[in-house]
This record gives sequence, C-alpha cells and structure tokens, in this order.
Amino acid sequence: MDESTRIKPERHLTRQAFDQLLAGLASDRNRAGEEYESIRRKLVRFFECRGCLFSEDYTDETINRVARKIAEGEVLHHPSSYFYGVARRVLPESLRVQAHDRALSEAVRNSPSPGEAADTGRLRCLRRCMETLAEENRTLLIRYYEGEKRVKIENRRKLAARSGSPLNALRIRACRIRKDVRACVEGCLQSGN
Amino acid sequence: MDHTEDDDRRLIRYLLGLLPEEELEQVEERLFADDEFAERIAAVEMDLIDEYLRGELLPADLEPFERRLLARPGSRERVAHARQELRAFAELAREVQGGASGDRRGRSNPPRRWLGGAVLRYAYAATALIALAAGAWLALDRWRLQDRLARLEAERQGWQQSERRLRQELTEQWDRERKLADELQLEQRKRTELELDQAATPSSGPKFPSFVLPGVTRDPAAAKVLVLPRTLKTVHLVIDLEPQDDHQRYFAALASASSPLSPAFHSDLEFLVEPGGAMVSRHHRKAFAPGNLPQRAQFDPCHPRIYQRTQPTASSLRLERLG
Repeated sequence: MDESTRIKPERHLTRQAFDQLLAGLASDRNRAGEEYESIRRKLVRFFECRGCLFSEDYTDETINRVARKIAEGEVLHHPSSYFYGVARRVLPESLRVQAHDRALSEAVRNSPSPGEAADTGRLRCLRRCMETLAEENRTLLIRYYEGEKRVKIENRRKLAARSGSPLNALRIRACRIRKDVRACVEGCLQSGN
Repeated sequence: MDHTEDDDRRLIRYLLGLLPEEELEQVEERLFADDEFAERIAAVEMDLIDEYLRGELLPADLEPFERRLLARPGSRERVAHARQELRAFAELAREVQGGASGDRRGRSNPPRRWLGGAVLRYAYAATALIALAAGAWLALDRWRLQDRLARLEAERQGWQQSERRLRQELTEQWDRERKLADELQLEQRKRTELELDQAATPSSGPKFPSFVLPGVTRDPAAAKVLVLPRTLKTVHLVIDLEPQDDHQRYFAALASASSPLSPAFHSDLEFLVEPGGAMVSRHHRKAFAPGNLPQRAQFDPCHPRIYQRTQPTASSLRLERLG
C-alpha cells in the first residue's frame, strides 16, 4: 500500500478552528474541554473496536472534519452523535488501508521495548503515586484487585456491599482511580521521577 | 448469569470484535450517547487485560484478545503497565496485611507484668545457651557433611581415574590387535604374491620341492587356496588327520588360477576317514564352472584305497610332485 493513500490527518488544528470546535461543544470552556476529551476517547474506542489499528489517526481525522464543518457554519445540536456520524464515514477509508496499517503496526510492535531501567523508574513512580492517593482510594484499589478468580469476585462483591454501591459503579470507580494513578505516573516520569 | 454479567459479556464481545453488526451499532450509539456506559466499557477492558495477565481469560476469548487488543500499537506497553500495577497492588495488599497482623499480634500479646526482670534475664540466658548449643551442633553437623562430601568426591575422582586408565588400556589393546591384523594381512599378501611368482617361474628340473602348509582348516569358508605352477602335471595330496576326527569326508578342488571366470577343470578328491588314517576313494576330473563347485563330494566306497597312515601327527597338507 502506497503511503500517499493513507489518511494523513492534520494533527494540529489551527487555534481558531480548535476554539470554534470547543465553542460548538459547550459554552463554558472548561466544560467544553472535558466534552472534547470525552468525545475523543469515544472516537478512539469506536475505531479500535472496529478493528482499526491506528485509531488515534482516524480520530484526529474525524475531529478535523467536524472542525471544518463548524468553521463552515455547521451547528452541532448533538455533538456526540454528530461525531459518531462523521466517524462512520471515515471508517471505510481506514479499512481500505488496513493492510498497510497492519504492516506498520507489526513494525511498531517489534520495536525494542523501553527496557528494564524504564520499568524500574515506572515502578518507583507507581509506588509514589499510590502513596499520594487518598487513603480511601488506595484501600479501594488494593482491595478491588486483591485475590484471583472466585476469591477476587467474592472480594469485589463484599466491597460493593460494604460501600453500598453496585458492582458496576465500584468497577468504574476503581477504573477512574487507576487512570488517575496512570496519569500521575506519566507526570512523574516526565518530571524525571 | 444475572443482567450485569450478561451485559458484561456483551461488552467483552464488543471489545473483542465479536458482535454482529446490528448489536455493534447499538453499543456504539450508546457509547456516544452515554458517558457512564463509555466508562463502563473502559472498566471492562481494564478487567479484561488483568484477566489476561492472570491467565483467567475464557479459552474462547484468548485468540480474539491477542488478535484484536494485543495487535494495537502501544498495547504491549499498556499490558506491561497493567502488569506492573497489579504487582504493585499485590505488594501493597501484602504490606497492609502484614501491618494488620502485626497490629493484631501486638494487641493479643501485651507485655505481661508478672514477668519480672530476673525471669526475663534467665529466659534470655537460657535462650542464648540453647541457640549456642544449636549453633554448635549445626556447625558440627555441617562439618561432618562437608567431610563426607569430600570423601565421596575423592572416591568419585578415583573411579573416574581408573575408568580413564581402563579405557586407555582398552584402546591400546585395540590398536595392537589392529596392527597385528594389518601385519598378518600384509604377510598373507606377500605370501600370495610369492606363490604367484613361483607359479609364473617355469620349473627347471624334474624335482619340485615339497612344502608343508600349516593351519589347514576344515571350515569351507576359510578354505586354503594353493597356487601350483602351470607345468605341474600330477599332484599327490597327503593329508595328515587327527586320530579322533568327527569329519568323515574331505573335498579338494583343482582350479585354473589365471582365468577364474572361464570354466576350469576341477579335481574331485573324496576321502573316507578311517581310524588312524584316510582313504582316497577316487581321482577323477570333472568340469565345473568357477564358483559352482559341489558343496559336498559324493563318497563312492567301491574305489580302491590308495593311502593310509597309521600314525598321524598333525593336521597338515603336503604337496609332492610325482615324477
């Protein structure tokens, strides 16, 4: 597959286009930022679960197209649905270059791993970030991931019963805390531990 | 399976790319419309990766997991990070448990007031003595073990040395035998050449020297071949036989040595062994193809006895030229 046939999203929207996009999502800029991040995650999930290997590229392409539409005067009444509709149109284009993507993904997968030193640094950051968590969240995280198989399931049921929330809510909460820890670890690594 | 588990299963199938198009679109529409649903999918995916790392995935999910989730760029790092996180959580859980059990021990065994200082001192002294004795016994035991090990090692080395020596002796013996066999073969070749030379040399006089051939055998496979000069017209075979002989018949053949492929005349000599000697039954000539000599000569008892010995001395074959 020729490289030129692959979708090349404009990675960086112009400041003006991005502002217009945020304004189209919500009147409050912070809220609009959150909405943008949420839509972006959903788009990545959509392309991933449709079997696209470079889902972020297609997500960027979708966002760029929507941004162009907004710049052309389009008003988004239901932004998420609108993005979903555009993503569905981008999807066939992504599937056309799947063979190329697969080869590229293989090359990326076969590239050398960061190595032991990076692992050690990450572990150190992980421990540090776990310590900075609120006691309640740290305990929840530890208890939620404790045990294996039936023991783990039973632990989670008990934990949910104790906290008075459904199992699904507990899972989402554990997932959020774990994501926070990951964000903390990335920050820690960028700051050089 | 309750409703939640049913939903979870559907989401797992969505993540693994196993949903049919209609269901897939339903999930996607909900994904874009419902933020909490999107978070739930993320949580199910996180659990799915953990289950993969713990080897708890359903067998049916393993292949699509590796094909779908692990094929994505960056998935290797994501899985590695998840592994580190699980390890860190487990370590923290152990630390928490350890701390809690330490606290429990502390609460359940408060210092007892009735234990006076003297009692404690005696107890410490006794403990120290026991520890010292145990240490000494362990040291002695260890020394014994080391000594035994050293002796076993020495024995093992001795065995190895004698094995090496025996192997060397065996090799030397094989070499000697091989050398002897080579020498024997060389001698036999020389002798054959000599006999051929002698056969090619025309006889100058009427007398042909008699020669004695030791080691004549009755084994047909190792039959002795005697090469005679072309000019020889008459051969008188004398065979000294053992007095106690189980064999009753002997066979000798006269063939042309110069042309082994062409038919040659063979002399059939049949012997009947009698106590203390042999009887030649007949001397006649027959035409046999080389390599097609009769395996057993036929004995004809009607032929005259031409030779008999009463005092045989050794197994040998002597050829004499008769004028």
